[in-house]
Amino acid sequence: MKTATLNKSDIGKCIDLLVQSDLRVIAPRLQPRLDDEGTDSIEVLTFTEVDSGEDHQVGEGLLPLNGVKEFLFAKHEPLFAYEKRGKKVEIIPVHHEYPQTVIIGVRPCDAASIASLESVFSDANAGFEDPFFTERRSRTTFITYSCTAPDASCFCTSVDLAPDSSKGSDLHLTELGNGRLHVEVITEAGEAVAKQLESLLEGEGDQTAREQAGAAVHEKLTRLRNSAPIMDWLMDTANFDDEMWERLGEKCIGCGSCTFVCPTCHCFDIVDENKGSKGYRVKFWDSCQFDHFTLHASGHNPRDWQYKRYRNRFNCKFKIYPEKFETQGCVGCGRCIRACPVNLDITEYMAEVAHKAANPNAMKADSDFE
Amino acid sequence: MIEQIRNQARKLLEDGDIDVVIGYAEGSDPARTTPIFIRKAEDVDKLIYDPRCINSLPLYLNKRHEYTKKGWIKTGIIGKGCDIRAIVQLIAENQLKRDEVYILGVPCEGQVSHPEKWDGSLHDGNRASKCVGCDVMTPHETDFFPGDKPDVDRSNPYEVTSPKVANLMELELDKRFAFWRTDFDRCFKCYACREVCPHCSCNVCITDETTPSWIDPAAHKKGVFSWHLTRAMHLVGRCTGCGECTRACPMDIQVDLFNQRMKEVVQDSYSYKPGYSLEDKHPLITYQVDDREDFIK
Amino acid sequence: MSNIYQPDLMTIAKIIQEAPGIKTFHLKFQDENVANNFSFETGQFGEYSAFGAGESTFCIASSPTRPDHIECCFRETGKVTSALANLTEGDTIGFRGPYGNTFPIDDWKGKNLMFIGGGIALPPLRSVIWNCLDLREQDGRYEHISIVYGAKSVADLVYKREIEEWNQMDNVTMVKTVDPGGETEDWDGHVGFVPHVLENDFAPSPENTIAIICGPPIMIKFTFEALERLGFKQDQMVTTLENRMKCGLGKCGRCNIGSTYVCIDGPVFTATELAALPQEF
Repeated sequence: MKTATLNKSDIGKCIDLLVQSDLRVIAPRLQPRLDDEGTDSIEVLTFTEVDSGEDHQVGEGLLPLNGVKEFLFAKHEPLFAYEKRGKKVEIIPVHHEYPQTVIIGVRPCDAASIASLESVFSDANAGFEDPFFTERRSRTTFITYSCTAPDASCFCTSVDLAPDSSKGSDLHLTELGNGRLHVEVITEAGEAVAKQLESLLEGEGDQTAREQAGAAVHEKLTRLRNSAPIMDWLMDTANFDDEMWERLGEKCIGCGSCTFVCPTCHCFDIVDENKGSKGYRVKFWDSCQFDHFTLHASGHNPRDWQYKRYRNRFNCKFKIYPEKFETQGCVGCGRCIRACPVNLDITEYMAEVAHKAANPNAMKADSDFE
Repeated sequence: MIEQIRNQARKLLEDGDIDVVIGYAEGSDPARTTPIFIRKAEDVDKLIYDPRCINSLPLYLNKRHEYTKKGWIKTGIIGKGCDIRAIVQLIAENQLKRDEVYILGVPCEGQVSHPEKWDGSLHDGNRASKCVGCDVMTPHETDFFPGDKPDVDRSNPYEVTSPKVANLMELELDKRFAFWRTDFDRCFKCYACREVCPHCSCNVCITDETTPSWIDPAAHKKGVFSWHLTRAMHLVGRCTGCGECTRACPMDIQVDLFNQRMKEVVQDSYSYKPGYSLEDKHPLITYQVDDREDFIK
Repeated sequence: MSNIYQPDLMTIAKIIQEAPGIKTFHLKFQDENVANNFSFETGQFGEYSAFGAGESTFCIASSPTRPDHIECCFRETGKVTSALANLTEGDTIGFRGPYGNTFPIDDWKGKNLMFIGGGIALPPLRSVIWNCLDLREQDGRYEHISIVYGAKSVADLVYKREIEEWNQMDNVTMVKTVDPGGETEDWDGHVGFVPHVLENDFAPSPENTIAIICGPPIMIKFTFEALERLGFKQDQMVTTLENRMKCGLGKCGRCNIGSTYVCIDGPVFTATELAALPQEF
């Protein structure tokens, strides 16, 4: 694998070079704030389109709020337009010209989620290929950046990932600790980008130092869980009615925050939006946490309590994804933990399942649900 | 203080006077707390109260959150002042009966705005802006309060408003709109702002209606603006200023600035602050002979 | 790359009012190429568009043995079905499909077939009933065919004419019923709920018989239990599920039961397969 070194302080120049070669560049940036924000002020970091290398936060803030999902699986997009004329209808394809895009500063957890989304939207899934996803994916290159300072909510190492993993990456950057970055060219797309940046890249990287630097960060994660027994425990349908679901999920308010910030959540809805006799059919993000998500027209709802809807989410991450799509469900980014207004914590569920899997004959945990 | 609350909760549960106590417990991180539903007297020691307890608990009294399905006849709830304003407002709107809820009031000196700002204590550097100038630090309506309740002057007609509201009002309209366009670019219509609100209680939210579809569910500009402005209007004269909507927003959009601005408007038009009186009815559904009429053309 | 979300255009060739609030559409593709290349197997469903209102999921209610047109049958319940119900003959709708798995009719060769349905759940069964009747007429591949069908009242029965047609056929037993209170003076069928009539009045033998059931989840549950009491084994019972769906092709995540996506792994399931799933349908 081809490697090189890059000065961390040259990242802004990298972005400039990419912008100048007519690529659409997306990088983490802090959102502009009002003058006097009061004591509530916090910094808001998001991936956003940039037109220069100024003010970027590549390698700085931990995790942009939005992740890269919205650049592959759009928050909303028209599928086609239609026009009704008397008894006839004309379908007008909507032209999607998706520009060649580079997203720089992607953390390993977000990068690992790309394969998961591909497993749902590509034709590997039942032979149907989502052309909108495919076009965006095929025109996007990911420059990823190893983490140096995970926070208390990160748990990638508990789901078989690592803060310095290059899974999903095209070009991977790791800090060596002396203002220098070790650069790894992972794919052909990464090679093409490296070529664009060759004036800033030097010599060969230092693989040993890179591995040491990466490994040192593993110890910094404090949220550790054993995820190995989870899928088997979930496969046993007797556990579907375990008391833990209601006990842990009672406080869930169904806000859907977790699903919207989750890099692998892929549920969507489709509606027609009209303007007179013309309109668009639009696909947009939806959530299995909403109370009407599975509501039948008859009024019957298979998931009629909120804890059942959260149970489905946990199943989706730890059973459906690995079993049905054979990719990773949860990538341990911790966004759902940070976002949840009532501190519902997926790692608490993980711990509970691991405990039950290890003690299948124990009395049920001290519960309020007698 | 919390010991007195625990003792009272224990007694109420043992005597069977209440079915459950909704309170705060230690969260999954040292900087966070979490809502807890205590049904057994021996669990009351899990109840805590400190400046990390920014969660508003009255949302669990809202029928949207399965409250009416639970079978609780009388619900105990720990309330700091702003939460109790929400409970009072729910009662004033007939969403809840006074005797369905037992309010365990707690004194509050303020809450820390974000877990990442918690460093062991509350101070000016981490106090939420809604707490600066709060007039319900000693709560107004309680069934139990640890210790004596000092008198509090609640005559200030205006509520606590974030300095951001004044900031925005000073901007010219096009710059103000540009601010919202930038912030709303991040909105993906998760409706967390709706779900945490104690007052969003419609059986079917207007956004979920399909026949007709009043508000486009997709998160394009039209769908986003129409949702937030509708929400602001539906909460006029009802929002009790808990700020949970902004706290819940996963994209850190300051959605409650609309609500704060509308409070000023309601105060100017009707001299009304919601959530203080069990009897006062919402000005938009009542008529007083001396109501302002200068805005009627 | 084709747009998997884009429907083909179809003309409503005929509309039949089956029952109050329930209509059948006869549909033909507007594009000849699409019409010539289209085929489906019994059990499959489609996403039918009322442009401007959205899409709704219905089975293909006609049999593949009668390919001149396809049919759907639906009840007016919400936004899309109301918009469809307002259309007239000659209007255009959209169709995406066929999706889903199929009834394993080849496995049923040499067996007795018993179809059990209630209310608006007859359309999916109707497709496979005609498919099996037509094939049996060709080569006698199935033994006795019985159909047990009921609705809330006489007026609510769907495919009224076909019920009478099946009633007249050789080697077909037609058991029709309405709920107590739904009968008219001249009603000559049974009175009682379908699972009850099945178990008590009809009481079929499980010998060499496959039971194919369609109905709301609660009816499927009661019918399975009744059939088990009559001696049917789980792999003798087949059903088709109607979960809430949207995309129909396994991506939107709405119709799952555990790891099973009803739109791509179903909607046809045996009772054995259903029993292995988490009970959330």
